[in-house]
Amino acid sequence: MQNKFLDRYGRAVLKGFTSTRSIKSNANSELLEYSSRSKNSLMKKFYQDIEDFETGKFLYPEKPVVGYFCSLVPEELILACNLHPVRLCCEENLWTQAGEEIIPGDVCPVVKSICGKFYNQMYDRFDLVVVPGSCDPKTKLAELLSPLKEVYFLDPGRDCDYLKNADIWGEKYTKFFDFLKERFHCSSGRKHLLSACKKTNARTEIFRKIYQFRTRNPEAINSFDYYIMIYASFFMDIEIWNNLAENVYREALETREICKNPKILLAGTPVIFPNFKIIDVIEQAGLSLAADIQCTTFGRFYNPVEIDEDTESGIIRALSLKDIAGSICPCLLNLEKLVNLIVDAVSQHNLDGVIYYNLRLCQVFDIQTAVIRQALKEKDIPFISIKTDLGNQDTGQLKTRLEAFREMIESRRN
Amino acid sequence: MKKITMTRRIVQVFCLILLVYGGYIFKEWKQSPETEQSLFPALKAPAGSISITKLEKGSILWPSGATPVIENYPPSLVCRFNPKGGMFKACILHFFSENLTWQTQLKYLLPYITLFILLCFLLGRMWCGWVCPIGTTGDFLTFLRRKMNIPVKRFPHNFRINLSFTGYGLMAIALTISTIIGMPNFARYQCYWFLPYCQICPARLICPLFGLIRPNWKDFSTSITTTFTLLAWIVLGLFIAAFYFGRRVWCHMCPVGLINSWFNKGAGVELHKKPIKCIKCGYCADACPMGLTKMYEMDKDGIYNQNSCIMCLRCVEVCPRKGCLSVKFFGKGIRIKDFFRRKNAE
Repeated sequence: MQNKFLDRYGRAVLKGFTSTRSIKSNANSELLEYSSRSKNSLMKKFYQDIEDFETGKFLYPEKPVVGYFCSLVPEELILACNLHPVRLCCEENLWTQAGEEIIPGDVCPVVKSICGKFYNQMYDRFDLVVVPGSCDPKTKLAELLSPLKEVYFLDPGRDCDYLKNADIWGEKYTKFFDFLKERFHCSSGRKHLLSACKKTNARTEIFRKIYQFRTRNPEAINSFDYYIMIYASFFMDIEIWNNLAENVYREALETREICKNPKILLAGTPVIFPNFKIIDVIEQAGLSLAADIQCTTFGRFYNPVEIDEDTESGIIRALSLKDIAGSICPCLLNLEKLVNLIVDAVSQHNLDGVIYYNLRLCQVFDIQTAVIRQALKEKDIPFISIKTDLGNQDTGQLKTRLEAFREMIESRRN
Repeated sequence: MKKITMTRRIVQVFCLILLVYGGYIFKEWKQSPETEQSLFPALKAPAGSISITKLEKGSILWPSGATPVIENYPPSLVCRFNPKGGMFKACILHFFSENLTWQTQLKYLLPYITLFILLCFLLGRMWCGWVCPIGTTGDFLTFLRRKMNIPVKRFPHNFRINLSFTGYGLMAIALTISTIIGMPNFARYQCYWFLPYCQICPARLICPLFGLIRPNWKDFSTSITTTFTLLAWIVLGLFIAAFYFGRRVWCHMCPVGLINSWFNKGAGVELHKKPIKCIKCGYCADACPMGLTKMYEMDKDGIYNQNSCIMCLRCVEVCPRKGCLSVKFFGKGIRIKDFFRRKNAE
């Protein structure tokens, strides 16, 4: 007689959970609001695509779709196997509430909302989900999702020292690549990897242009448009995105608006659609978000893949350097790197202050706050840390704090 | 391919052609009577000593080249055994070995040595990375390996350090033997032990091939020549393996490169690092063909010219952060990176 707790392979059965709530995302109304503020006519396509993605109407290319989290998962390997990579990071309050049923308690809201989305059949189209072991909630997420989807767990380790770990990363990425090739029956090699890297390098180039342009003129592509473009890159086909972003950049080049607001740098937790509360508050407080150091934007796009050895293992090694060694994820050992990056960006782009955004319950970001505050105090750079959750209750209070911050910056100027 | 590497490849091929075949072009110029008096007169072997051109045909060192166009010794591995159109006389180790045996007076050597040191201080080991014909040949082997999709072999740090000791050891032995056979009592050994390093140097076997001349690759007439022949084969095998499986591992033990490396730290070409820009991505350390990691490790502002660095500037090229690594020439920025970077990329 078959044991009801075991499956036919003798493994314990993880049944998973079913959510009882029916969720209706209010992403559409938010999209409308943001797109009305856009100064760029070409942004419409991005807004349209995001609306389709949020409502499940998005047309994926005719190939298997692989979902992944974090910048630590090498997108190029997925692309090289002729698969469609989709980054699934999600910060929506409604889905967090749905996820609350599955994982109640003081857990990272990002993981909650991801769980909420998965258990409400939002991601049925996906063939595989790649979860990196970057932080503790993500590690457990791999187990929570495994009853629903096939999950590949990719653990790069927490030490991003090149000398000690470069070989280990290469091995781990190679195993992942081998798994992909076997799972999807493709025989990808050096050529496919090279062409995938070419695509992402083109994206890096465009991103750098936009990033650099925004540090001079943050109003021409406003921060909503910027983050919408970033979010669209999560799921759009990379070449289409490159074309559109290039056009948006060209159009923005023609506008000649001079930014009078104090320019600030946003560091900390990634800002992902539709959680644009922090950007909204920054804008309302009369500050301009001119640069950012976050894993969805800077950390993901800024470094190109530098292929030195164009053999298969050489390319995979180059990818691991880009994704892990160059990573700014707070879960890895890189606090010094982050402080250097912030100080350098502030001095290079003549920024007026730094806002450190901290999503409640993400402890790794929280722990870093004190060190960054101390380092920036020594350099005499205005700094404010903001800790908030996905809800909208504290908007007024945040606005008051940021207005005070702006006044402080302006008084320093005079 | 990025711009610095592309420029480097073009310079390498140009230098290879110039150093190996340049003599054919300049021969006319040399033969005209007005310019017969060259800047430095050729050093001649004293009576009774062995000179390479006087060697019997059939000797292991029998030169396939005729007299060179320019009697000088640049800081790269230009070879005595080039085809007939060889541009320069030989490498600096050849120069020392030969003149120790001949016991040439120092005053005749000084102009050569001064020019050599000047060239070294000007470019440091850039001669190895950009000019050396043997390095270019080796880079071609590396290129072949990459096309064949064979992964690079990364040698551990200690191994590479010990390679340079091997190089110094070989150099010391070669110079000692050259000095000893120059003494009157030992002059009869000159026909076997003349230019001992050249006898095992892979350049002696490779360079004649550029002129489609068969190198004198075997000589089993006596026990000494047999030993040298076998040693030369082993060293050639190691040379090919080093360039094929590693990248520039050979350059850690090349004696000419080692002599150049003494001048690297004060050379005109300087590699600067600004650690505040560094994000410790490891690109520079990973791309270094010599396997050096100092650029990656350092976290203080400054010039980081290392003895083993061949100044290929690959680290400067791959660094994703503008202004983190830079090249300067006598403290003046040449801003190679900005000059070559794709427009607006950063």
